[in-house]
Parts: sequence; C-alpha cells; structure tokens
Amino acid sequence: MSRSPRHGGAVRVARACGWLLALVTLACAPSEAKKKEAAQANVRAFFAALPAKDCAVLGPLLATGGSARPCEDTVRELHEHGMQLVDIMDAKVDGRNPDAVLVQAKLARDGAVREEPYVLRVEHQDGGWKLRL
Amino acid sequence: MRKILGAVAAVVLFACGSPSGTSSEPAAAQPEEGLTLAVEPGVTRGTFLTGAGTEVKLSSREVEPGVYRIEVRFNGMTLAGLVDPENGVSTLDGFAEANGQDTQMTDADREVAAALYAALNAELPAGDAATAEAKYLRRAVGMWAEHPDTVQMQRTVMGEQGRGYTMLCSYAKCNGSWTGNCGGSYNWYSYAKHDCQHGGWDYTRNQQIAQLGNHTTCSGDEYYMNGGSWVCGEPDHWIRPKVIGNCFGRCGGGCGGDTQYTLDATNHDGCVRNGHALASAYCDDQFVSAIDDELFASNCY
Repeated sequence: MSRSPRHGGAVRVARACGWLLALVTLACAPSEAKKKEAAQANVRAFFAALPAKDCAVLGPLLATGGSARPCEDTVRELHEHGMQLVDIMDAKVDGRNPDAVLVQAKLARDGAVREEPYVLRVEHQDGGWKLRL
Repeated sequence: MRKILGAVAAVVLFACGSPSGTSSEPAAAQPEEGLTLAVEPGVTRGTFLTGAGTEVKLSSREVEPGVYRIEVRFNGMTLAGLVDPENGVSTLDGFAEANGQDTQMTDADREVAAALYAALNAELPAGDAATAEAKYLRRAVGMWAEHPDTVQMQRTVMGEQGRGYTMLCSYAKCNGSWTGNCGGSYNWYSYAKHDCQHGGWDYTRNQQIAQLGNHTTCSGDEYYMNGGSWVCGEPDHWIRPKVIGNCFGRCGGGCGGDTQYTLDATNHDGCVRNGHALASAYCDDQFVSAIDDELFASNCY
C-alpha cells in the first residue's frame, strides 16, 4: 500500500515539526539547566568558604548593588547566627528575570535546621553567578 | 532550506527569548493615580496606580458559598489566594504572569503592595463592615506587603483558633478603651518575643513589654520607654523595653483596616520593630506563623 501524496506531505510536516521541537528543546533546556547548576554551585561554594570569613574569597561570590551590604557585614552577621548550608532542595529560574535563579536551600541556624527552606536569590552579574544576601 | 532554517531560528528565538518584547497593540488609556474600586455583591475588583506609575489589577470573588478567590497582578507577577475562612483553609501563590513560573517578592513588590494596602484601608469600611470579599482581599494584600524575599510564595495555610493562632484582644484595650490615650493606665503584655542572631526566644534583649492596640503614634512610628520617658522610634535589642503605639500586635503593617490582635502578629512586630528590617530573614519564622492569624483571626472590635 502506497502513501498518497497528501499523506506524504502531512508526514513531512509532522517530521519537520518534530525536528523543530527537538531543536527548541536542545536550544533551551541546557541553558536553563546550566543556570540552575551554576546557581547551586555558587551557593555551595559560598557556604563552604564561609567558615574562613575571608571576603577576598567570599566577596566575588556575592551580588553587589541594590540592597546588598558590604561583604564583611554580611559575613559577620551570618557568623553571629551560625548559618550553615544543610542541603539544596531545588532551583528554579525566576519567572520574571531569566538572569536570576531562586535556590531553595535548607539552612541551619546555630545548629538547628529550619523546617521551611530559605529562598536564596542568585543573580547573573559580571559574567558569573552571585548570591544576593 | 533557507526558509526552513529561518523558521527554525524564529521559533528558537521566540521560544527562548525574553517575554518583554514590544507589543503592536495600541496603548490602552491609563487609569488615574490611586485606587478605583467596584464593590458588588459577590465580587470586589479594581485597579490601583501608584505614584511611580505601577498599575495593579485586583479582584476578589466568592467562587463558592464562603470561599473567596483573590487575585492581585502587578510588576509582571500574579499573587493568588483561595481562602475558605469557615474551614480555616487557604492556598496562596505568587508566580510570573508571563510564564507561570516561580518568582520572589522583592523590595519593589512590597512597596507596591504596601501602597495598595494603605489605599484599601482608606477606601474600604473598617473591620467586618467591609464585604467578605473586600475584607479577605485587604487581609491578603496586607500579608503580601510584608512577605519576605526568603519565604516561598506557594503554601497552604491552615488556621484554627487556639491551635494555629491565639487572640490577644484583651491586651489591645487600655484604660477601658480600644482606642485613644491610655491616660497612664496601661495593660502590658509580656513578652513580644523573637529569635535572631543575638539569641533565642528567652534572651531578654529579644523581648519587649508591649501595650497592644491603637492608642498612639508618632509620625507613623511607635514609642519606647527610655529612662522614664517615652521616645519616638524603635528600640534595638534593649533589655525588655516597654513599647506602645502604631497598633503594636495588630495583623498587617501599622494600623490596617482590620483589628486582629494576636500572639504571632505581636511577636512579628516584636521582631521587625526591634532592630530588624521588615523583610529580615530573622523574622521569617514570625512572619510565616502570623499568616494564618492575618487571614483567619476575628476582628477584636
């Protein structure tokens, strides 16, 4: 049984749509996944370096501008409160800003893990991903 | 082939591009600055334009008997709530209008929500005199106006008196009255408490002795006792200072249109009016605890 020319055209259109969908998926998905990975890596790197209190290391991991305070103030306050990263639960690109990722993280304060995750904002600044605290 | 490649490029650009593209639709007439509200049976809706030009669209409608769907849209964000006061259940959410993805409250968003809350307080009848749709809209907006960045927008809130929230109405009266000067006859609540980098709930610098209620204010602020005199402003982790004014202990910021005085709202005020900013992460837990109070607690008067 041979396919009619009309049927063949429909198959070609469907195939083209399939390719288009695949290309869109390839073009978009890795970009979003990379953003989330980079944002999570930033949060992990910041909290890993926090105990040393060295703003030469921590400063470049923090977002600047807006409501951001000097690195020394932020680090001192986090230390006073004994903030530690326990786990990263999830990360999502901010629906209103493709250059920001919202990282849901479980944090401990003075050793006590807060049940409700914190939403930490990581922004793309100066070619890197920076935590806004 | 070139056409196909062009189509692919167009689709990819459309799919991955920013939603903030230019529109070819003609610009609609701008509403006037301030709040325009229509209160009808079963629905309250309107628009609000801030002085900075941000437009807010708001609505609250009864979708089933005693169940209200609230929607507030501005800055590319939709704030949504479904509130069932009779059963003490509500679901709340906040997401990007363009794509439905998660987003976060920012300083700019809180500023708009606070301005809208002030306008609703001025426009709507106070307390239970407002229609149910309008009242729950006002309460939800008051809650969003204080929503910290670090707290997830999507949540289910259960509210039950005695379990979820505790009323402190009796402490909102002084000298036998809900409002007006206490005339030196106070009714102190001990203690408004929070925990933060300075210490836990039992740390005396995280505690305040408060006269709740609408009794005084100084330029929209409160008073605290300093060496036997009342000083306008907020203490910063003093040892159990006495505080009064600006509707301390009331749900919502300042003196809102509802008159709910509760334990969690008192503790939240004891945090954000004690050396911490409104959106401070140290006051997150007090904020989350006070959400059900704001949505479901009865008005004291």
